[in-house]
Amino acid sequence: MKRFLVRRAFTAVITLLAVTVLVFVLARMTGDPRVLLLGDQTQTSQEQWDAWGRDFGIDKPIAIQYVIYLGKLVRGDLGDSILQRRPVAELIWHRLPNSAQLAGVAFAFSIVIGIPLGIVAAVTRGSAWDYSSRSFAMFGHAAPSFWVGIVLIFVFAVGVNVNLGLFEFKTDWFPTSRKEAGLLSYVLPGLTLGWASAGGQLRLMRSSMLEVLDAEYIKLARAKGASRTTVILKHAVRNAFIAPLTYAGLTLAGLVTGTIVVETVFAWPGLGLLSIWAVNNSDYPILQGIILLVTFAFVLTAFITDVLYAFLDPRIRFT
Amino acid sequence: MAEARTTVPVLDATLRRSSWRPGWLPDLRRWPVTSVIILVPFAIAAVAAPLVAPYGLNEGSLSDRLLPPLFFGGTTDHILGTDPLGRDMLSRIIYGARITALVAGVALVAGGAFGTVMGLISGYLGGWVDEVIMRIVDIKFSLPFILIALALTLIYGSSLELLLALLAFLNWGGFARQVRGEVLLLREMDYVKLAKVAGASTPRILIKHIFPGVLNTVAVVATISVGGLILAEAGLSFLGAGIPPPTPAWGSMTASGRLYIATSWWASVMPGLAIALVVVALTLLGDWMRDRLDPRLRQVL
Amino acid sequence: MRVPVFVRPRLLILFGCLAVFGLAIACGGGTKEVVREVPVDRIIEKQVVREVVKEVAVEKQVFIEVERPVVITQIIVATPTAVPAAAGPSGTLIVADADIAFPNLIPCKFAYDPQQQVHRWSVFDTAYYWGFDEPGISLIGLGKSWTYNPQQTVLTWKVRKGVAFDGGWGDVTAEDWDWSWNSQHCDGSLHSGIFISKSYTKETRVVDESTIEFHLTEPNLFYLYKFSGPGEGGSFTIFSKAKSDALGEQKADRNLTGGTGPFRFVKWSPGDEIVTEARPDHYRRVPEYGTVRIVEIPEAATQVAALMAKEVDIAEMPTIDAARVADSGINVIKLLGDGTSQIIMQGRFCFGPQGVLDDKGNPVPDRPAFDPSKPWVGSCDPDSQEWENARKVRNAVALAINRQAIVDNILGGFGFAGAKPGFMFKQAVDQYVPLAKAAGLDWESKYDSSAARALLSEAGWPNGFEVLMRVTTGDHPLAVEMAEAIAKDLAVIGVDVKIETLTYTGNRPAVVARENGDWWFQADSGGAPSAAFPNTETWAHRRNPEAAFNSGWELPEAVVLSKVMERCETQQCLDEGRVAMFDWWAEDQGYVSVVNSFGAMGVNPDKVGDWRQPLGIGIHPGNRFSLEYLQKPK
Repeated sequence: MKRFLVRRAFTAVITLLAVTVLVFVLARMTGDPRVLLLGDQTQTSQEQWDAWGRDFGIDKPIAIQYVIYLGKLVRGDLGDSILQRRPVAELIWHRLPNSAQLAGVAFAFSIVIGIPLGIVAAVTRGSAWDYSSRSFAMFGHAAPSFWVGIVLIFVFAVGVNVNLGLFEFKTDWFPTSRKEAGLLSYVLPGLTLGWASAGGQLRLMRSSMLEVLDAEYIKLARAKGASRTTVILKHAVRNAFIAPLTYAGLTLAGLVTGTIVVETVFAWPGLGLLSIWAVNNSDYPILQGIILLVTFAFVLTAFITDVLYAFLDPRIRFT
Repeated sequence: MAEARTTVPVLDATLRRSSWRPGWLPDLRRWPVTSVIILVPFAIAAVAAPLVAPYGLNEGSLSDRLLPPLFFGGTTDHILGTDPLGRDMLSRIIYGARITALVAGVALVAGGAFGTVMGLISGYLGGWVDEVIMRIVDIKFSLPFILIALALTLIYGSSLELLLALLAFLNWGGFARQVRGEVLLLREMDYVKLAKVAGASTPRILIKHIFPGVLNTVAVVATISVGGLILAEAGLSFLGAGIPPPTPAWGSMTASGRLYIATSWWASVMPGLAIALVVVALTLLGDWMRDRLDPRLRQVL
Repeated sequence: MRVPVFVRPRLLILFGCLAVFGLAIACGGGTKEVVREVPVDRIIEKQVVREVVKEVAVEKQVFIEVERPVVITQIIVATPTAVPAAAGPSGTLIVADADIAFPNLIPCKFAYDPQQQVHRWSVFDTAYYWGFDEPGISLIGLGKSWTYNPQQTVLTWKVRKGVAFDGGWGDVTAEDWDWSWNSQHCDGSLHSGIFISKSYTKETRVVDESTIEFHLTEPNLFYLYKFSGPGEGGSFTIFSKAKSDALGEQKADRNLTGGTGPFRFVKWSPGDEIVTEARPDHYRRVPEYGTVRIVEIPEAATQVAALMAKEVDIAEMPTIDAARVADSGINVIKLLGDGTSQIIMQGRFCFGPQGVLDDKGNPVPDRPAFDPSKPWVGSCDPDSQEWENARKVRNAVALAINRQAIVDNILGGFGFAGAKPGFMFKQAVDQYVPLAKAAGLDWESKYDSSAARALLSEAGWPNGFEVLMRVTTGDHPLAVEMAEAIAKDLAVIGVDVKIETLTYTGNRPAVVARENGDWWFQADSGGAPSAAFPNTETWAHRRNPEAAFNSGWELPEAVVLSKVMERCETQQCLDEGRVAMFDWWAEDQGYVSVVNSFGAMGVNPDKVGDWRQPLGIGIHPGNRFSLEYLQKPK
């Protein structure tokens, strides 16, 4: 047990270190910030060039820079933005809640779309119902999310005139963008992002339903005379439901990628927009900070769960 | 890491339930009809683009720009309308099928080959090699791909070659992981052990005995990840880092057409629909292949 | 019972951890980042209600007779022509902008080009603006009048009295001018447009509270432009010295008070929104709208959607598809902009047999990307045949582009075909350099494919050639489409153009180092938002005085000609220099000018009526974001 913990902690630390090196190298590949700010060296006095080098901490050998960087990192200092001259941690902290809320709403949408359709697909396996519900859920994943977002905006925010004889209305139900209109403003971006992962939810729900339906206890329940509906809803769904929920953990990185596009389309002031801003301005400390945050969260969660699992489930084989 | 997976060779339920119907007609339910119906026309378009397309790739004049599609005020001259430079949308989409297939195909082969080799080595050798490769795969999965791709594209400029490299990188991790899982099972098989006892070299065992066993897995992973590649191309195009024009990739067509969506929706909606249809079809096909070829993967993909 | 793989405790825990993590973030995260400063004085100020119609008295221009025949020693005296709005400012206007950056309100070490960020929303005034009705004549702004001494080495500004800084920092005085000037020109300044003003300023001297002298090292005609309003590169912004003294540099930088414009900042939430409100007693113009909210919407398609849904009242129309958009209840206002687009044929980075000396007297070496084998480069020697052939190649390229088709179809009529001499407006230059009009320059860029083909074979490239054209995206939203149209036109004469797209920022280092020897298609929008992302920031990178506006293009003739012009002491000399420059430019085609595009502003007709745009003078027609001149619908 102890050996496992030490070993697991060791690999996690190594992984994190590898990520910091990777991110550090990537940031250096974006070039010398002085070239962007001051032009090339020939056009600037040596004193000014050096002063800026000290300012950005890039006057030392790269290995020492890395050590300094790592030291700051341990203290939670992600460095300062080049353009904004403010701590990156602060900038990220301001944006994080917006992204987290959007991700939460998106996850809810993916459950709402994916689970019922998954049940339908499993129960009607092989039929037209199966295919159409699968196709519908997968459509959100299959179409580019910026495109889905923009089309949704034009259909449900700008609105389309619908004339059904007696009923005539315009479908301008939601705000086009930004998060000012309260809960309503969460609908379209949440739907865009959630629909994209609904396909995955459906797939998991469908296959775990199929397996549960195939299990002996279901057959037993059916043999005892319970109706088909009862069996499906009471026994099967309850047992199959948990699988898709856990899907959330596995899509953290994917969700971050998704939010970049969706936040841009919907003018959502979250981390995605910040990272795009950083990329476009070569403000690499911000970019570095966001990538680190995402990967750290990913690696750390995996580590913690492994450890907790090791405590809770003694059957685990320590290899 | 501890592998607590309880591998249960689940037999496909349909396989048991449905049997061949009497007569010569195969049961259509057992075949991915929807996918085939969607994919075949696109495949034909990709292979025979110059023969099928009504207009040339860059043919068109600016005076014909943004003509609406048929049934929306357009004519049969341009069934899907024209783009902002006056080129026929249908022809662009047909040629685009070719580019999209090329991009996805190359990225798939490159990423797939690399990932498969990594998976084979990792699974078969085990030990620290396995550990290192799997940690790299973990890191790969935890990195926000699109940000890194975007940063690199902005540094080096967008080009087809860079995009292919990036997509191949995006792709290899899934192959490595699944193939490794498969190899872990295969290497315990008697015939592999026998080959080992018989003195076969490691490369020989990997190539001759294990590789054929993972082909199904590779095929399934490949089918399922094509969609992701097409979408990644589209996403990068939206963020300004896609395939440079005038190459008619669907993603970049959708992205550049969106500026006109308020007034000329077809410029963006048509290529967007093409992407959605093809990716849905590929996903359904992938599901079907997985069920048929490698039911074990159902739980992880 | 078979347990699906996913129903395992390990993953449940994983999910649980994530949920806790997520909750912590969602609930515990920081508040919105808002910069809000409300000093006491402002509250008092708000109570001021005046119904004064200011006397308007534009005094005539006074020319001073001096011994030397100089024209530029003149005083222009004018008082603001604007009349306060009858009903006073009221209502809220919502403007969509592609990027709400961050406040940056100290003169030295501006991270951003101040003109883009603080002048844009009429919060800070500059020393003078060119008027609206008669370009080049009326003068309004923080300065009242200016005069040069006969030697043109001392520029004296009279500061307008009684203009208060917002936030209770007192009136604008010559002291504030002096301090702002010297801060803006400090060592290590990041301001992009101060090259000329920095290198020609010997010292500044405050004479009295409302008089300040700028002593020049030698006469320079462009010097005065640095005092002009937004639209002229590198405007001199006047800040409150008292504010900086009281708060310290760091705090003053983020503090939103101290403005001098018709609006004041109320709130600045980076990446989200800016709120400004009208100053009801502004000296120049009292806006009709009481509050302006500028909200960030980066995606252009979404901006259009928000305008159509009436969520915003003003948005720039990236599609410039006015005729179609008009059907959807939006008015489109054409904005006279200065968005130029040109193909820059890089690689001619050499200085010929005579060479060029740099400031230290050393010969400037050939640059890395100099490559005489390129058809458009040819040779370094202006007397050689290769040089001549390369010029023909460039002219053939210029001839082969159908500019009018690009204007009509891609820009939807919002622009005009670029003239031969690069970035100049003919109308503007006629006004600017009377001699140019008299000289009857051959301005028009012609379109003639067969002539182009003939010229190309004359130059020794009958079958054309291949070339890489980098397109920098992020400024003009239609840059790539224009590039595609150009590529199609050039394919007709056999020039095979391969397009590569990248951002301005990404392209910049190689350009500055002159490492690119191929073509660069650069399309300025004159401020329209980009398709994918905001882009005022690309300008932020043109900050180093020496590197600013450096497009990586240098040629001996142009260098020599501009050096002559810089030393000019009379208008005559300058005009002649310009004519020579235009002539050379038109013939040489180092830049192949493509189109000049106007901006298009979509407005909500329920909220916005007329908009008197400043006409401006010279190359830049003025500030397009002068919201104070926006009128409500009648």
